[in-house]
Amino acid sequence: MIFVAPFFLFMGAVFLLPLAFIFYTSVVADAFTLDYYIKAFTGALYLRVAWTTFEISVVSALTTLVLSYPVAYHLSRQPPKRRVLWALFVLLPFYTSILVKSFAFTVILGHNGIVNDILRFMFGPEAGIKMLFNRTGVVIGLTHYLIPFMVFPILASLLAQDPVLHRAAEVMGAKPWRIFWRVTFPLSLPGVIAGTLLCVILSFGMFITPALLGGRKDMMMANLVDFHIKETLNWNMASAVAIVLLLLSSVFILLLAQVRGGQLFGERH
Amino acid sequence: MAKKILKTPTKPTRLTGKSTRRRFLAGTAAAGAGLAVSGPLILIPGKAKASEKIVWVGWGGSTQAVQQEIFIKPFTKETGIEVISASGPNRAKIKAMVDTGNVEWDLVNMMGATATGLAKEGLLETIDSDLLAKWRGQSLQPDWIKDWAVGWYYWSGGIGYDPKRHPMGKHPRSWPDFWNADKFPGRRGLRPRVNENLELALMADGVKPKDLYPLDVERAFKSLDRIKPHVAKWIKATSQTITLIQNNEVDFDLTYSARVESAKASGISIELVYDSLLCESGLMGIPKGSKNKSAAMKLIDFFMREKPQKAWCENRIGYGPQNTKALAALSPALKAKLPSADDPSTAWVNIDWWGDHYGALSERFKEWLIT
Repeated sequence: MIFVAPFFLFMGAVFLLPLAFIFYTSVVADAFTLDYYIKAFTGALYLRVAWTTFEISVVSALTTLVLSYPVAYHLSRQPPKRRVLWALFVLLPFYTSILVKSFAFTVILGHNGIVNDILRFMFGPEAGIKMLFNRTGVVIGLTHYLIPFMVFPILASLLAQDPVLHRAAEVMGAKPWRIFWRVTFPLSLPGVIAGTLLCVILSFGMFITPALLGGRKDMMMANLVDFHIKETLNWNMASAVAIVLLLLSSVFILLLAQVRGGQLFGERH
Repeated sequence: MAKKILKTPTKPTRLTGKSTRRRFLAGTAAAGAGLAVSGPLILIPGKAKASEKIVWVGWGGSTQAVQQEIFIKPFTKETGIEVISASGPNRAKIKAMVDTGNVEWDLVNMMGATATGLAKEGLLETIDSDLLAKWRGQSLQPDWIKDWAVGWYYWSGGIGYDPKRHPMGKHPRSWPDFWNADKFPGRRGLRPRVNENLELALMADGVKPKDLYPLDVERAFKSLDRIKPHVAKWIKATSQTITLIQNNEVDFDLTYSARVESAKASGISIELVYDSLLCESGLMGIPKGSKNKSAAMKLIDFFMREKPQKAWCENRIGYGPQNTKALAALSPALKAKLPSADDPSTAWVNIDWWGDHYGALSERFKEWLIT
């Protein structure tokens, strides 16, 4: 216990204390008040932004899931040495600054970007798609950021499966497609759920991507915090929004803890 | 008297700062350490002590590099006061510094419409009235000389477009034109903030620049409703007001003469409509509790002088001098790109009006933006 004391002291000083201060700021202006929370839960601006945040996070997490599952599956079928090499490629976006990536996306997705140039070359001048400064842009940007966070939990639960189960299913005459849907996929569900929840939680706090790739409607809660901190200098309101965001994430973190413990399915995989 | 105040030792102040922070965290109302030294200050003529040193905060980039050469270096040479340049004058940082009694900045550049809020929150020092009186008489916009900050230059926003895509006659020439998407089809770009937009919306609706203030907010929002569907991007980063035109993401946007001129100089195909400008004030103020108030005021005084103002406006085409003598001394070619105070097509931002309304309207605008 004594050896973890420095850790708790450190976290207390750099995390819990500031957090307590933020909470304090959210309920005390000149005197104690719940006005900021009332506003955060009833104001049209706040409700709409909260809904947008939820929507963008869930859509991005699901898009990420669809793209990541085949990658994780492929990785799980590789010999270990090659798997490490491929895994490095999956991690590439992870090593790039999100700011740089967002600027790069404006070049790729823009009106005269690479994707639209190719589309117009292939299908004529009317074929361009608007992928920038709208919801699509935000989801593409976020998905790109989230992929590693989805691939690895799924990969872990795929690798944890006992290969004997596959062989048993094969011996019993099941075709590969049937084996996948009846054995592999159900057994990988804890990884799928953990990855999805993790991605939702991570998306909740994003603000660079919606600010740079999004349109006027794609404002997320973190952007609202930024707005009140820097523009209106209303730090009480900013703190209240931040605490609400923290509570929202906490719900998902609790769910995540359940999956990690294997309790969501009543047994450990 | 003045000397005594100036000599207020820095060490005890710093100690007070710490205990202030603690008290603040504990929940007691913060009394900024700087309050202890907020008495009236009188400028002391002559050379400063060798140890005098101030931190000056600019907007960064090549503009600040030029300011460094034209204002800061000669100032240090003349007064012996060392100036440390920092960049990114973030208002939230000023608030954090003053609230915690840990004021590291002595003189900060600010933008007119949003600076007043700082003053209202009591985050800025009061500037010596003699200094203000001295410059008010020689200023293009005397209203921008406040006792909490001095407007020392202005910048102009206008309609930007690519002359290759939209040659003469094919681009809007005024704000009513900009709002007229039938006559001038194309994707628009505006900024995602309430100031500027309300002014532009009213001018688009037919209000004359000189009759803008007090702004008719309801009318402005109604006018904004009309342009909303045609705005392809609400441009957050100022640099993007150039690159989005360059990359053909928008056709017409609100951009700024200094940015356009430097983009043109580097070979980018972009133009600005010069006869419907909105001019905004660049101010400098002293965060409350600065330990080097008097030196900071000397630097303000230097920034207001004719010679360096003229040199700066010649170097950075598009920025206008507050000093009327500096404006008069500029070449006719340069003056053509700088509106004069009585130009009927030019709007000048009223920073007092924004001081009273910025916070509430800012939130209303955000709500309007996402619905």
